[in-house]
Amino acid sequence: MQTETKILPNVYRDSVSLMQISSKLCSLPGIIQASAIMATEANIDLLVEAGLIEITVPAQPNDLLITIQGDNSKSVEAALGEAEASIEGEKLTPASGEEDAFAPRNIEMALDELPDAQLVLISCPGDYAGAEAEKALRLGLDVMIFSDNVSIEDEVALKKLAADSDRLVMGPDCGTAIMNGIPLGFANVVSPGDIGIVAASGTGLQQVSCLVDSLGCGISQALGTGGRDLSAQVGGRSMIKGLNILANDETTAVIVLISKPPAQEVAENVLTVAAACGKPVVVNFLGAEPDVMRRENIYPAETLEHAAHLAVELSKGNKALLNDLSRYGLGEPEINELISPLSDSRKFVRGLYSGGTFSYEAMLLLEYEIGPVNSASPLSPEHKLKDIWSSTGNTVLDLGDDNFTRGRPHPMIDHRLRHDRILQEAEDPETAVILFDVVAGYGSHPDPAGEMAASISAAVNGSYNPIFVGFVCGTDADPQNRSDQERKLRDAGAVVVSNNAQAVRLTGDIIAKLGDGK
Amino acid sequence: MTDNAQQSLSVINVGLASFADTINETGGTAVHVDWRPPAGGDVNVARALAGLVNNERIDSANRTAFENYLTAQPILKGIGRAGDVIPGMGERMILHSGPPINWDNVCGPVYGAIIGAILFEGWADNENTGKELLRSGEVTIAPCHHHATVGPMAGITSPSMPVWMVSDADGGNQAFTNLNEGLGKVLRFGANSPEVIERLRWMQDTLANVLGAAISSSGGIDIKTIMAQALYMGDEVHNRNAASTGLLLKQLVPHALRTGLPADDVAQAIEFISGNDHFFLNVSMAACKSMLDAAHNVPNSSMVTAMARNGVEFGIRVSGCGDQWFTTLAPVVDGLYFPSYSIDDAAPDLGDSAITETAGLGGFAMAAAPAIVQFVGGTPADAIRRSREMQPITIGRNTAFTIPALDFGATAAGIDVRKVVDTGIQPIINTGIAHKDAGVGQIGAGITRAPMACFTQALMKLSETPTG
Amino acid sequence: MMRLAALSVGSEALLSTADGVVCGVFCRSCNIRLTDGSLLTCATSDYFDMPRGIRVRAADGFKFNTVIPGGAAAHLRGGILRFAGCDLKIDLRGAHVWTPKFKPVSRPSIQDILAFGFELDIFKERDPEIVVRNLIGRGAGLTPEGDDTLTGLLAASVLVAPDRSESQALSHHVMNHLHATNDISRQMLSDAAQGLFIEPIISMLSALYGQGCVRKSGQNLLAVGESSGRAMLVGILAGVAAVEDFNLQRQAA
Repeated sequence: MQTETKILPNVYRDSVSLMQISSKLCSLPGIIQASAIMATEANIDLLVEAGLIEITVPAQPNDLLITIQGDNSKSVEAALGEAEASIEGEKLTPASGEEDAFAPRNIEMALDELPDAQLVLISCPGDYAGAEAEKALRLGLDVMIFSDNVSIEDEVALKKLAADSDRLVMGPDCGTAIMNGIPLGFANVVSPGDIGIVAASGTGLQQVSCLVDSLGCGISQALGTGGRDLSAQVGGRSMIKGLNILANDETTAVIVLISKPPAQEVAENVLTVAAACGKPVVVNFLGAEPDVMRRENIYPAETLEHAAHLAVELSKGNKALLNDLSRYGLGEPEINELISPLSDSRKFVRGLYSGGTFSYEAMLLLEYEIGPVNSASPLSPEHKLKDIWSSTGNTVLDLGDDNFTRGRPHPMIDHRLRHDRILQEAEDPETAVILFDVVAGYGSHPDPAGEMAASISAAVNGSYNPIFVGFVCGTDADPQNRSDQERKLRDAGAVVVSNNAQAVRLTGDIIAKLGDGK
Repeated sequence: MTDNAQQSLSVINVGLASFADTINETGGTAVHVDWRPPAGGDVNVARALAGLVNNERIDSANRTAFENYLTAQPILKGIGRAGDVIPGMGERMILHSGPPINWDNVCGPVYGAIIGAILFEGWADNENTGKELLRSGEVTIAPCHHHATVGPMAGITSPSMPVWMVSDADGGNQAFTNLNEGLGKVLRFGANSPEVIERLRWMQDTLANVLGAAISSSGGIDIKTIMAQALYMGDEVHNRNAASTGLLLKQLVPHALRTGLPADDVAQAIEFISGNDHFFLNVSMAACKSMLDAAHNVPNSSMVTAMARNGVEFGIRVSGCGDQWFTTLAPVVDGLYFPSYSIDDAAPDLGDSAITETAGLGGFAMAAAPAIVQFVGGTPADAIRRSREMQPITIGRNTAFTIPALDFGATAAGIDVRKVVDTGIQPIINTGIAHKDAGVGQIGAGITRAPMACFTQALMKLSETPTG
Repeated sequence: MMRLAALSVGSEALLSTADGVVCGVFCRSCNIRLTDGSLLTCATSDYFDMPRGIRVRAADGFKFNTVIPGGAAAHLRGGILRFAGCDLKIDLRGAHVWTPKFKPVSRPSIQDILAFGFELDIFKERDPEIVVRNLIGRGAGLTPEGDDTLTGLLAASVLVAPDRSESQALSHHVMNHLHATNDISRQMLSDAAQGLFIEPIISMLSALYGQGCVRKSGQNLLAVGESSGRAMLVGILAGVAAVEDFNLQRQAA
């Protein structure tokens, strides 16, 4: 066995490119392990953990470090050559034929090239994202910070700075937005319309916007605030700014707010602003008591599905608003048919989610239907899994959580982790239902349902067949085409419903029935 | 958000390129930034930088500093004895290039040149005695820059040497520089043999007399005009000075002939200048020094007013940071070496001549002298590209210096410390390379970059002062 | 890359973010129509201050029309104005903010009005609506002379006697008849109806009302545009005469 490292000083490539290169290197003949990373402290630690390097390498955070472990020196040399070629190939080339054109090196140069720019979208490593955002604000631009690992102190400072010049900060950790119909980050192609969204959750925004689209309405603007915006320290600054933007936006008639329950004072402030903004506001603070929120012009929604329906009804000008939502479309006979092949040992649900908000919503709804569930990030600490790599009882996992994504791409892009877990859960004789989401749209895997269908097919064999219940968050205008995605899942034998709330209710009913005895 | 709801969206993308692709595919416009962590990845510097971007007080100070630099008009006024005309020059003081350094730390060529100067002055008649003078402190050394002076390579200037005197017609500031000895075994490369000393004496007597009288007769020579013309003729007035030397000579000859000095002296002087294609370099440097001194000391300004090397360290000065030097180890230049020499023989970067780049000439005007890129195996297109590459890190352009190959565009000038750190584009310098041993001489030439560390240090200093 | 600093910015032009299109570019000035329909004017420093004006410090011989193409998109970000397809940047930060403010100190004398020697008795018509209809859009010039006169009238009415019903009626009718004139005038008149005037008008009125030299302000005002200044001055004088209820005919005779 041979291990070689190579340092490319002052060469920078983004994390996604590097993961793709690492992935390609791993699959070369004779290679055991391979990695291409920026030599930050954190990344070096990962390499040491993986046993790829033992001594401290003389590499700076600005250097690109290639490490290859192979059977013999020949395969390692070949792989190194391949690595350098790939890295070189990723380099941006200036527009051909223009001697003097070279890509802008910073935001200020980019603004000179694109003087009508309104927004800077930042997805560089978190250590630098805050500084880049500050530059953008000082240059008079709005900011969307996709990056996470920005400190909460920096977040507060940025949002205060933004307020000085009336700018919007979406994020940090804001994965999704739709502005002027353009998908930003992980977002879907939805019809234009008069419903505006301000969301602290990316997948929440995706779900509501897609459902609104499927119900025949459309989105004016969908703004993200980042996951921590509604904490006490940040105070909901971006949500309030987003609210004000939508309140003043001529094309918006109905506003939807989505978040986990905010700190109490923050919720008060937000609701007060919302109530006075002059337009009806649907509020989905996942898990909050609806009565707490009830006031003039505020329409509390219990689930993302409910929020979408309320918004659509308000957009159409209907006075009578739905409390009772359509069920998942399966009657009792169909459920019994699903349950009957299951062996007696199978009685639990295993929720394997790529979207954090879906997993959270699932935990809330399931607790209501069948009792608390276990998780790596449960609703209450006593239900924390002893070993997150092994489910016990009813378990719901957010596979996009830091614990699972360390050194790995997010499950919305890379399916491998979920694939392995699906097989593991299917083999577990106690698993009755595997509950899952498929998130389509820009930024996601080009065929997430195809990947999931392959996993389902691999997991289904002989008499060990859990029930697969899932849904696709997307639209037909997305590159993946939602209908196509749904069809692939059904062809593989999954039960496909239209959204998370339906999937969870169906799952809850199945588990409850199993618990009652068939 | 502005009022164009449902009109297109224009986005600047920093990070994952796929996000920019998505925006462009779905009807928006995205420009992807060729981003890398600023300042070599130092998070603290990155944060300090963010606070200074688009900062009104700095921008306004830079406007003032730059304006002062633009309106400076350096005039070659005459020749003087260094000890008599250079401010603060002690009678036992020797000036050297680059930032401050202790005499016992200097590199080979500089040490050799210091000894040579001591011998020339007659303070000692051998190296050991000379060294003793340094050790005892009876002879001190100081940076040229601290005394309104600049010098190429070792830049050694001693009291008895003749120096050019340059005056700014506008602001009245003065700049000085010694006379260029030519190529081969010369003091500025550390040679101190009797023939070197003899040449220095000839320059002190004959050359200085002729030049002094000629310039006096001329009433003063406008240096910027010569430099501007030379840029059209293949010079960049740092590493290419043949045209400018010729232009200077053209102006001097008629006056020299009318000085009434012995014809042979005049002939020797003219022959000397004609035989040295780099004679104008020192004049160019002094003119640039004069222009940049005019821009120096504007509070809050982030404009670089000096870049200089002493063969050990590379240092810069910034207008708003007073007399402070920001230094780091000087790099060894990887360029084109003369036969039988290689990078292992090279002294680290040396000389005050980077003052030309600081003023928007030299490497910044490389597009005017495409021959230079042969040092790095490049093409004339590369020369143009390098000049253009300097545009994003400068405050503006100097319309006094236009370059045909840039469509007669003006050269980029006024390095902004913030922009160097923010873009990662280091200022480019065309330079000669000296042998690391005293007295061997020039062994090559190349293109080098000012080290980033100097700029990050300066940036941290600028961020200390509250700038609102 | 040309970067000009703004010397002064009118109170209505004090924006940090805006988008627009260059709708007219001349030697000494350049007009930008913003997306909200309002008009910004960039001008060289020899120009007077305007409520929506940006006066820039430029080298002698600088001409807007050699640098900015007509129809170019203009974008203001973080206080810096950039033009698409053009190397020019105008920095608005740190510029002095000019606010059109009028504060009367003393009343004018009828002699101040008559001294200019204009025929003012043509303004017998007192019905504001008819006055507006008679003047708006009439005459020659980039801003028609009638509009300039009307602007002068408005200055006297709206700044001196804002609470009088005649003043309010005059403003009201101007706003209702804006369609009858061109873009540039429209901005000028709607600003005037709200009490926003260019510096020479403010100075003229101030001089008449005790602050400044009447003759000098008059000369400055006459120098505005080709004939605009004269028309504005006529309007101001007539307006002041009306507000102060001077009987011009009796005095002239």
